[in-house]
Amino acid sequence: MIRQTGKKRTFKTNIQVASTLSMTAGIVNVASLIAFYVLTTNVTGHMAIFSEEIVKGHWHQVQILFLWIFLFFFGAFTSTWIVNVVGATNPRRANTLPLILELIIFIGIGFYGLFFYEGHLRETEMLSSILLFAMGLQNALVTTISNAVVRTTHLTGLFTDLGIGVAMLITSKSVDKAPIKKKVILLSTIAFFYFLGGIIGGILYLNFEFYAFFAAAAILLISLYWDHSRIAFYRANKNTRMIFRNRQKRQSALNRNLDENEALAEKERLRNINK
Amino acid sequence: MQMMLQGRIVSTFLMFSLVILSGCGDHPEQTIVGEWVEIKAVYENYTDIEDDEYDHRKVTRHETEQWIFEPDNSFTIKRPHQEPVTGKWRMSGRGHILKLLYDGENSNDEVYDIKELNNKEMIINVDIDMEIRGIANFTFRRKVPSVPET
Repeated sequence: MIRQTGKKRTFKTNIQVASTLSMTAGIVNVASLIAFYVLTTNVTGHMAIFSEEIVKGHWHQVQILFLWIFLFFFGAFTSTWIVNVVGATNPRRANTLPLILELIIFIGIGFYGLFFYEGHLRETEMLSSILLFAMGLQNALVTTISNAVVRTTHLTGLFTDLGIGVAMLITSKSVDKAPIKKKVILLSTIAFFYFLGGIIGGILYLNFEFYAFFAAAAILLISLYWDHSRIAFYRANKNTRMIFRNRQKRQSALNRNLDENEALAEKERLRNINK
Repeated sequence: MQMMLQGRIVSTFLMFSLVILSGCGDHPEQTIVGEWVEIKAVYENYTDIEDDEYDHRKVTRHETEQWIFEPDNSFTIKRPHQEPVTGKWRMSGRGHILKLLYDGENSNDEVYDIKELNNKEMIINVDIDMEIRGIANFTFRRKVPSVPET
């Protein structure tokens, strides 16, 4: 679901990536909101507050908000950079590397939170920055591999598209409704799993604090493992199919030869009888 | 050639972020340290809210108090004719959240939304996890100016 890009992507793989990664984003967003009072999966709100803080002359806040917005951008840059540079030599691994990096970040934040976090503002700022970077990584990767069909870390554009899609389904009579229906299903899936992730993240953080980030990491790990095992299964299956196909070919060739031999023997027998 | 260009772009990004990190602007955790005298307490809409909608006990009344924030994250609140209360203070978010964690087992911790914090003035709103703003608003003046007047 992660390794396929371009024309190889299907509705099914988009649904899979949308459900798992939007749930991860939902968990991280709500956990970080409760832990640090910061939304870490999108920058629209930060941009508005950034303007507000400039007007008020709160220069420290301006600095921090700029850093957060910049790191979301830098995460997206890094993800695409990895995909392009590593993809040139090893295209199979390229798409998984940003997710592995994201996984390491979640585990690191979980450990830091459990063993070192004292609740100081510097820590809050630093951890929020790292999470925004991670979400930039994820969003860029998903956008790239799905040809901008799936976006898993924010819902503003999604609800706009969903509104347009539903209106098209209801009102339009001339257009082909099948692709619109598929799009509406995909967008609804993202919204639902983002919401579900938020609920899970909230419950986990309120009860187990920084362990919530391990849950997000676990979903990523399962996605990566499943993706890898799918490839392994496909490869194994491909080999099995090849062996079976070759055996079938040999068998049919053998049958053909047997048939020919039998026919020749029958001809010979009839010739002998005629003589 | 292409790798060099990529390296330059990455290093420019890193340098840029370092510059941002080391930029100007007083850190809120440093600005808040000192003695603050409460000059105004406003309880907007406080009496309008029905008892079953909101637990009034959550909003502690702070009137004519003196708040002292120490660099070691401890605080003392001095109230007229009462024993001072102590605890630990923490900041969160982008420096817009102030948490007061009171000493003692049965104490209710308080969370404030900082509307303004500079060397002279601090304005805070009670944060009650609801979409209601300005339910209790406190304004403080710094008792001793950080920069002595000449």
